[in-house]
Amino acid sequence: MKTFRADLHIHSVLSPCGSLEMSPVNIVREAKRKKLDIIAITDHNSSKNSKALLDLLDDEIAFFYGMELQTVSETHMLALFDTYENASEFNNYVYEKLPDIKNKPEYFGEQVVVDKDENILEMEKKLLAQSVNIDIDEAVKKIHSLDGLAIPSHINRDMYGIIAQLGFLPENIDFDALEIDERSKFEEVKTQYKNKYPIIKNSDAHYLEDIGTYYTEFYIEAPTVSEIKKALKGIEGRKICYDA
Amino acid sequence: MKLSNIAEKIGLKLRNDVELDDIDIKSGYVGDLLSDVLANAPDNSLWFTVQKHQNIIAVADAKEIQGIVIVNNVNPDDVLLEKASKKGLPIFSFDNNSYFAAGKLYKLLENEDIQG
Repeated sequence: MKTFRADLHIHSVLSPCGSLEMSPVNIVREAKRKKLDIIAITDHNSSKNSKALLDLLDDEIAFFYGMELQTVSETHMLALFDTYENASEFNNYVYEKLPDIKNKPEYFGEQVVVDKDENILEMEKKLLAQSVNIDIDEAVKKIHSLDGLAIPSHINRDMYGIIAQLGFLPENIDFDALEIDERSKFEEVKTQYKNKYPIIKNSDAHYLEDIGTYYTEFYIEAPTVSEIKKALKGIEGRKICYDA
Repeated sequence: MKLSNIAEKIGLKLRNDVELDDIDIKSGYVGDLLSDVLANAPDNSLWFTVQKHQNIIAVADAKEIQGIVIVNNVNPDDVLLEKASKKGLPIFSFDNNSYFAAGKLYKLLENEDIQG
């Protein structure tokens, strides 16, 4: 087993708030430069730019495929999968329940789907920065049915964090972990939730320089979702390296 | 003012099996951020929101909110309604937005103050 450094929350040009330099190829190059072993492109309510990752795979870096879902309660949650296929199935399920409101690029920013060479494949017309008509528990069940990870993101941020939106963590939902960002007090949050959920850190990068500024190290056998799940549970010798 | 009276005058549709006659409403609150409702909702109020997550029951409980109106025709699920019934917490639906619902409540309570 070895230590894998993971930043599992990165936005690309498909997120209206993502910088235009955030193409999959640039993200992967920057992630390698930052010595990351696993990354995920997690745009708001869409996995379409994860497809380009399939063409950028090599021995140096592993990818998870997924999105940052905005639930009907207006909370953000990472949905991460081993395969593009499963991410794509989740993507279709979400897209159907995404209200048909048009993006206004002048307000929200462009939503660009690109290939590995930065060719524009499509401009997403539906606004991605809005709530999808899916409840949190329903989303978690769907993610788990596709063998994915369900991780509420930046849980204690005022905007779209699950604590601000719902007052406190809902009970009886099988989250795989909770995510905090660099603005959170890691030790405080870890102490508060340690008996309930593992805590992970990601960059939530919207600009290239932010990639890998905040990350989690996992001591695992291979860069797969099932290995991460074991590390989150702390079983079979897998673990999160909290001293990192 | 009695909640049964308010419900009738505003046109709220009761969704679960709770007796309204004994419930007295003194104020109202509008909010969808539950952390804000927890911090600021007054006791004995009627709460207007679009949130239908089960956490709304615990928030109402913590703040002594006496009833929840889920506005904009948002449909609460059966689990929520059952849980609220067990707590004796009425859940209503309203077919317009919080502005209209809360505006009507404000008027009712204001008139009661003037008369009372």
